[in-house]
Amino acid sequence: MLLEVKHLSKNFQLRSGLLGRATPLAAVSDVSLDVRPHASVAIVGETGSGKTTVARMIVGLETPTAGEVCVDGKPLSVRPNLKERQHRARLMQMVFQNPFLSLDGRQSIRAGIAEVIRHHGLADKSAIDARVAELLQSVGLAGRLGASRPRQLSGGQCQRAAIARALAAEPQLLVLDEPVSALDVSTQAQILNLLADLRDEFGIGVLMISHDLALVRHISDDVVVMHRGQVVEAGTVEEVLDSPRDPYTQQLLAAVPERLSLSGASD
Amino acid sequence: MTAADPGLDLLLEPAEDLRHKRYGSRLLSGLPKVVVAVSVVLLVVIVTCAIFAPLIVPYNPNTPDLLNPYTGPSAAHLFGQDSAGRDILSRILYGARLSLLGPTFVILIAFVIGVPLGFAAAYAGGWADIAISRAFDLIFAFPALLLAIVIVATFGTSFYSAVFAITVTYIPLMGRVVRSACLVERQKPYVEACRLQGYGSWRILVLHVAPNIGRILVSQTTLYFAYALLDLAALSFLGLGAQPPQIDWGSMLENANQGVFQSATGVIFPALAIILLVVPLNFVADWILEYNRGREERR
Amino acid sequence: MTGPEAAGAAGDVTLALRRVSTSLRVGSELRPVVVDVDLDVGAGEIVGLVGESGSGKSMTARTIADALPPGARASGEVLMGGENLLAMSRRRRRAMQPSIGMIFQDPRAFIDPLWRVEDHLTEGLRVHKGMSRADARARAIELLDTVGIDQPERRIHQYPGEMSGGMLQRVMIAGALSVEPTVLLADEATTALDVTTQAGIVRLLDRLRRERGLAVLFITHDLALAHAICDRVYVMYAGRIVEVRSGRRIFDDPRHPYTMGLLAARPKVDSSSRRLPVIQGTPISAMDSPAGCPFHPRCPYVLPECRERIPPLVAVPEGAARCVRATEGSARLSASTQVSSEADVALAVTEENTECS
Repeated sequence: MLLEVKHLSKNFQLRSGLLGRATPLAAVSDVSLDVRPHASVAIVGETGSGKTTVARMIVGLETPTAGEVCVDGKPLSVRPNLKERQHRARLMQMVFQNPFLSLDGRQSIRAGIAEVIRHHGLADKSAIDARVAELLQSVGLAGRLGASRPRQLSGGQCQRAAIARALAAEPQLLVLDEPVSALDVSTQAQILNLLADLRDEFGIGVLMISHDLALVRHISDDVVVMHRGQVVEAGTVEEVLDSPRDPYTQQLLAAVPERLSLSGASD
Repeated sequence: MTAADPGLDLLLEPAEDLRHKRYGSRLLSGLPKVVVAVSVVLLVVIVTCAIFAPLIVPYNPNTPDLLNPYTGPSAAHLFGQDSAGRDILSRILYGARLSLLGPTFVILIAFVIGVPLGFAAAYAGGWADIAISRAFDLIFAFPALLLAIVIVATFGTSFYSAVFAITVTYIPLMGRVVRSACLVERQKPYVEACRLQGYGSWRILVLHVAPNIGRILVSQTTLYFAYALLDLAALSFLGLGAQPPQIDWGSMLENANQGVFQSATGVIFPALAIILLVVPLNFVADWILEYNRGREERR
Repeated sequence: MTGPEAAGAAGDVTLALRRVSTSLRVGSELRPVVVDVDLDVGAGEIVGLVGESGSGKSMTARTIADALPPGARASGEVLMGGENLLAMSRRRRRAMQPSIGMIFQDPRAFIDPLWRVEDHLTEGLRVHKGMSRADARARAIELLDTVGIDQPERRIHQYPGEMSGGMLQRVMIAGALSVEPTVLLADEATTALDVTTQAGIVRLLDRLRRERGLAVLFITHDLALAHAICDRVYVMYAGRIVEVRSGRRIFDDPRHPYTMGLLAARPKVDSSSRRLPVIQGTPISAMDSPAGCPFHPRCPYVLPECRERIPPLVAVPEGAARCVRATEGSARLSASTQVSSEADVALAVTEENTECS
């Protein structure tokens, strides 16, 4: 099993007012899921479902209140030090929602990717440039764009660059947090195709966080539905999307534009 | 061709941001380029005058002419004469030196001490942040000029004690700018991406965050130079800064005070000199911040 | 000029756009963002305006609402009640403001976080209708109830920060309704909302147009959403209307290659596919349009004449499409797909193969 998430929970303390009592908010309660090697799993939910918090706990950006995350059977540290983070980075990488802000605006794309390669010691000095070019090629960024800075590129191009940077560490799992929700429809489709190609080419696993059920149908094999911090339903995409058992999942599906029906909408 | 409109496929954008986002800062910028150009030219001229003052002054600025105190402009003395009959034009030119040197020292020292403190507060967090921020707050709690007066009174009046006094009040200003800017950057995903790789905090700070706050830091520093100049001039005006025979614009103002009804030039020209330095600096600081900002502002 | 006749509104046309063009000031030049738009919205209709970034859909709305950035210029006619809004004096135009309500994508950016809901809602009533505070408050509570907010007497005292995005969007709708507009412009009003919240807002808009005869212009990038709720849909690309069809037909039988591509590129919740057919390249705005049809560099069905002239709107069942091949229908078109070298050149960015359908 590539990734095992066991009973993950996260409580945040909300303080109301200067002297108000701190009320705990259970952002995530007892969430468990598995990702097999090379598999594509999605966590689906709306705002406040806790799906992003789960992703952040998996990659180590948040500390769980309870539960653990295991890769290849070994639990990962909940408060990783630098060495542990570096090790985790070789196992999984994250792609963020906002393509522009997830890249250092003052660094060229090439430099950012090269930095990752150098940091993990994945190529000798002489081989780094070639490796960077290879990565840019595999995400569909023409070579000369590597010298650009994020602000000179479009959202789709930036997201490709972010994916290339993620792949530079040669991870086994790619965690993507709403990676295309900020992009136009045409660009979304391009990125989704790219992800499918990369899965085929590198065999990486994909953990996709999204609110978009159609996207999840297209790219994932298994899906976990979250609502208010808890898992309400899990299974293959066909099971969950064609025959949902949980009322919340049913509600979600009924609200999707393709299935939306307004009483008396002129037709 | 594709580089023409970078943000074009970005979907979620607040409608109001449309202006800055795609069409460059010039659509709504406050500053016509000519204003910035004139400002820069003025600054260069003043600095040049200060450097070459000994070569271009018509008179020795300290030579008195006690028969002609508080005289208005004349053929011999273009800007008139001050309380001791000394040539005001020469004193303005010479005064530029200390008037510029003072803020330079203030900003340099405040930068060298305040910036690392700001970084430490933003990055170390925890106790370091609390200690540094409270120390800053302590200094902020005092009205700057009052604090400066106390310091100068303790160490005696001189150009250097005035500089020291003002520097103390500027260290927390620099530190706070740096700390806030760093904290803003820290929230951004690219910093999280760096953390995920296992980059150390210092590495992230120096290689990634610092370059990104550079623009704001330079702009603020320019602004603070102008404010430091005003603060030092205020101290000199109160008689707490440079002492004779040293010349600076603030003390010239103090000197001219009593004779203002006989000849206002003693007040007008030093004041004008200060204004001609402070206002352009403000414009330049603003321009540094806004230059090409439109293209950088992405969400 | 077959647009309005080809797919006009049945019954009263509350809002009509005729040859509306808008240009924005970029540096020292004026660059077009909306070109020759003809549009009708009838009383009680929901009309969709669909497009991606750069399509000019938001700018069209802003032209109607007189909310353009400084230096922008609009020409043509925006007709309401027989009068052209664009030709009016500033004062008359401002007096017309209450008849056009507008709601935006991000309610938090448009509702002052330091004002209570009451202040936000009663402002319009007190300024435009001269109501007293008490009357305005009572009306505001009514409005909150109309938009489906529970416990309006309590909510009226709340601050925006205490409300969810969906609820705040309803408050914004209430605010827009408070001055009793005849036209409502919804600019990506549900884009930032969850799917279930979106469904609620959309149902609310539907009810409002039925009950009040409101003419709603629903701007979105989501063609499926437009299909679900709109009586009629206009598709914009590079500042121009490229297709106008009934809500149903645009989904089942799109006639413009861009519309087809837009539909095909979206993943479907009902079935998965290996790869999504992709329109290569990225959307452009009017100011970057090439000569001839603005879509031709990306079009898999391009013909030599497409590079020379901008095609007129051609009548098709229940609408019109701006394409010389509009009458061919998608089935015949797919059969004749040719790989165009233009399409490859436009691909400075991506190495996607030309894999349309």
